[in-house]
Amino acid sequence: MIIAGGIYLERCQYPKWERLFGSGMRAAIAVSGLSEGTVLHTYVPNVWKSDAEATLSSFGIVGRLMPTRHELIFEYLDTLQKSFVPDVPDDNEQEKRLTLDGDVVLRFGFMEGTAEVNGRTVVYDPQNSYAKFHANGSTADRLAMILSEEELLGFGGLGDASRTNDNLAAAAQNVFESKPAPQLILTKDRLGGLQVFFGGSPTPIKSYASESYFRIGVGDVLAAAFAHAWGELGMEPVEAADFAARSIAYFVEDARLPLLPPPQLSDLRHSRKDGDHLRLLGVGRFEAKSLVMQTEILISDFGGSTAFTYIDWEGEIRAEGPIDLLIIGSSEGPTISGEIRKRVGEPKVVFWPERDRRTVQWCFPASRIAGDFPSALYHAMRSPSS
Amino acid sequence: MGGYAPKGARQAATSRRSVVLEDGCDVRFNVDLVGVRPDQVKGLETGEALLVQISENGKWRSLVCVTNGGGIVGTLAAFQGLARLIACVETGARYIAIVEVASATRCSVEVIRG
Repeated sequence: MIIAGGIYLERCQYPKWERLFGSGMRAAIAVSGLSEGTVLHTYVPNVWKSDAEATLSSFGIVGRLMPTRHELIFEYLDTLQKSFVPDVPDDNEQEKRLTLDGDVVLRFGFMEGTAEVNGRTVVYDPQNSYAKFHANGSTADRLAMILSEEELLGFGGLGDASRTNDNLAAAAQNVFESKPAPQLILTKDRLGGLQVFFGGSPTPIKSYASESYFRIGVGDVLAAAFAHAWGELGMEPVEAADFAARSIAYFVEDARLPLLPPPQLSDLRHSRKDGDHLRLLGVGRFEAKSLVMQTEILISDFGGSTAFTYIDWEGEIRAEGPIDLLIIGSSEGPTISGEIRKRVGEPKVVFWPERDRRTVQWCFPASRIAGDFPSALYHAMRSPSS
Repeated sequence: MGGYAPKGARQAATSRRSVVLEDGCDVRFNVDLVGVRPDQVKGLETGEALLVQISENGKWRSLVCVTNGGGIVGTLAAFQGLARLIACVETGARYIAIVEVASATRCSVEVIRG
């Protein structure tokens, strides 16, 4: 596979994590075990060049590296929430364009430049750039676009519309009617769910269950897996999207790379959406209550809703169980668990960041214990299908 | 404008700021391995020491963590300082990787000069 995508430094505070990935590097490593002779075209600043080359060599990837002045660093509070996104360099600071061609090409949007690609089969993920594929001279015999729901609305001229199914379908139709148009569009929600648009009604792709949820770079993995399955293995779009969904489930569990071939991902379980009318309970002082309120906002952002949110636990509670997500603050001790269970039953998911997992499991033996906030949200909003 | 490396970014290695002394090879840092092999990570205990060595496959080479039995557990990759670490190993510096977390899906190690 021929890939055009960035190499950036990514930092996360919770969990503490810092890696040299970016979309291009991550996608190249993702398919390195699936696709013979992977080539990555990218920009890289001198300070990261030798580390990037060493990493590419580790996975048998050929690097076509163009120097850049820009050291782009993305910072995250946790794997769901970006805390710093670098500015896009001004037009006069944009690097010279990359040009490449190939049979199967995966193109990501860049912040510091652009890639003009010419391919038989091309998968394009604009990465929030809203740059049209053909605008820089790129061509493709077959083109698939990987878009978030917001991006689809934007590309379809409905940027101010809400993310309803009707609006998404209308936006997709607008994209298909623009010429030259992609053959298909793959949209992603924020918890691993996918939809394939060919024109007409979209085909939903079920997501697969994972034990934990590391979200940084999940879109890169999706694009890489789909490009491999659709472009290189010749799968039909829906089948290729299903492989991408399986690859997402594999990746988000501890950020595992490289990806596995389809036969090795055959025994995953589907997950179902549980994101509506969630019941949240926060116990503790300000930080726990504040996190619960932030959780309510994120659930809405992720397409879910809350039935109620209680943060006023003082030994009395009006909330009725069962609770979907319980968040406990650092001020509380293990003895509070008995009282909580007595009043609201066994919570589905417990997130208690200041306590070790074993202690929390002992306090809530029937609950799923989340070791990090994104996993807590994921498990509150998704359940493995039985 | 934003978008450039904040001061100090270049010193950070992975999840903990690396300590660089003397010959530049006295590094110590924590990192998750890439390409963890479930058959090799199975049975690893916290605190167990893995060997850090270069693996060559034709023109490709990588820095890997290896059990005493010779099995490759995973690869050290995708972080600042990797190239220097490889150069240090090539000039004779020896490192071990102490297992901090080992599960079917993850192996986190602390790399120290041995």
